[in-house]
Amino acid sequence: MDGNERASFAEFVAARGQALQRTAYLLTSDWALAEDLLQTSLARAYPRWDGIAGDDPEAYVRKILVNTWSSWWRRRWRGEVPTERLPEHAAADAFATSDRRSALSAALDRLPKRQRAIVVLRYHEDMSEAQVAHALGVSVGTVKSQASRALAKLRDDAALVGYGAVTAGGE
Amino acid sequence: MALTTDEQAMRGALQELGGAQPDAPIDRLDGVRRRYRRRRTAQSVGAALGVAALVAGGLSVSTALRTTRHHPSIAATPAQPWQLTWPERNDGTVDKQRVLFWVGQQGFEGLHNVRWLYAATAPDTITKWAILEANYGASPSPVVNALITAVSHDGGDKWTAQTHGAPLVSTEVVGVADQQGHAVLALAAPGVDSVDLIKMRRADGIDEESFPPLVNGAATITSATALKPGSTLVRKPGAPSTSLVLFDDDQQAVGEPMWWNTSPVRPRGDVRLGSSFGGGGGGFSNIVSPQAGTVVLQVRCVGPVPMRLIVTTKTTTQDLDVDRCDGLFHTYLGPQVVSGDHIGVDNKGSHDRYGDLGDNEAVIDVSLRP
Repeated sequence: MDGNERASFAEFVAARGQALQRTAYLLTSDWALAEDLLQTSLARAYPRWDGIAGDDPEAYVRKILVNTWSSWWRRRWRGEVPTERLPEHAAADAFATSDRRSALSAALDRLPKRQRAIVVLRYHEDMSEAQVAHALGVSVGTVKSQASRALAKLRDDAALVGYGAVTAGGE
Repeated sequence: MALTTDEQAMRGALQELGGAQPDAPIDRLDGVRRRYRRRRTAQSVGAALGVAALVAGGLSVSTALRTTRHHPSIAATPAQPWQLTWPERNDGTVDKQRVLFWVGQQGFEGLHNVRWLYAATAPDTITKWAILEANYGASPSPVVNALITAVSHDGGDKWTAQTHGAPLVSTEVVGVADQQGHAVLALAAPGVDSVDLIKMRRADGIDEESFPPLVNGAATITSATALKPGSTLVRKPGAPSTSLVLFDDDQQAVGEPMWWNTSPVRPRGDVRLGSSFGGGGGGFSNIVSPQAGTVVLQVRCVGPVPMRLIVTTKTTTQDLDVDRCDGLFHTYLGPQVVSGDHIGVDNKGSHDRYGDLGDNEAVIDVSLRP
């Protein structure tokens, strides 16, 4: 990698690092893990930068990120995952935002990994169905059906009752 | 497409969830470089352990054979003369009966002489692969010697199969891409401890990178540029190391890549008449024979086989089925010609009855044997 490529890589990390870390967080539900995931993905892209910088490097890194996360899912201990709803707090309003985040994060944790990746890429990254299919190596039809199932699961998730329109029935 | 209320709500919820983002670590870039260096070091060490990994593969084969004895349709069979004699690499995560079911669903009928080479989850991925050699087709249709690869991205529920011409028994590495063309799996013969990827993307150079250390004889790599479905990767001709050649776009047709410039050996005083390089169809015409003799075609091909060449002269038309696409030159004898005859060679690509459109990349070298 020559000086220009190193500069290009550094510029990319500076410009897109935060956005990619946000995606990583939505996949992992943990900021430290998200940074770990992002750095691992960038380290994999780094030696190939010459070949990918001219195309769509962010799409490429995002694909590595999702694939790396998928492999982590298989081999890493995932820590404690609450299976019961926490008791309601008396002063719920003061923590409403935090509660909503926790509830959504926990609900995402309960989705199958591919559905979660599709939800994040489709609705957070604003990728088209075709782009999501390309990134995950699945068909567009699979993206459509899995996204629909994921939304249905979130709609029915008990922890998200009252969480805006996600639980409103889809109409 | 308009978003539904659910989708809009999900978008808002995700924005909120990811909104309270901590500041980026100030040494993120340095951290990336450190990880990269560690990864390189780990790969070097891992490559040295490749042979040990192959031994482990052999052990798992014997286990697999014992456990599959009651299922003759998926049991190991003696290798036919045209089949690779590599051991089966099997990690027990692939339902072989299910693979055969899906292969059958996709038109590969009359499957027999099935020899499994790989049935496992690829290292560091969730993708399952199955690689087997088999005959398919039945009389009166031609029986095909094929390398069949199948890949599943959903944990082994559904499989997508591709067919390739059976590689030479001396082949050291076979490489296949998934149906999206980005994931490339290399499967190596016993004794091969590392695999390199050669990407001839430009006329003026070659991109090269190493696969990760082989696990159970296999390794995967992700290509930024999609391969065409059905692409076959083969060892780089004459390479000092075990490498794969990957043709992943048409840019190689611009200029004269090194691959194109390598001339075949011309035994018996063959006189060079011309050569062409390209993918898919094409060919050339109106070569004038300087003397009487036999047209000799030396074809170096990468891609799905068979590839059909039609050689025409003033008085004859001859079809030549190029049945080896392993990246090496193979010789095919064409028609007899006399001095002044016009010779045409038409590359019809690959159009078999299974709808494989081919897109072979080939060097077609035409010479005359006096």
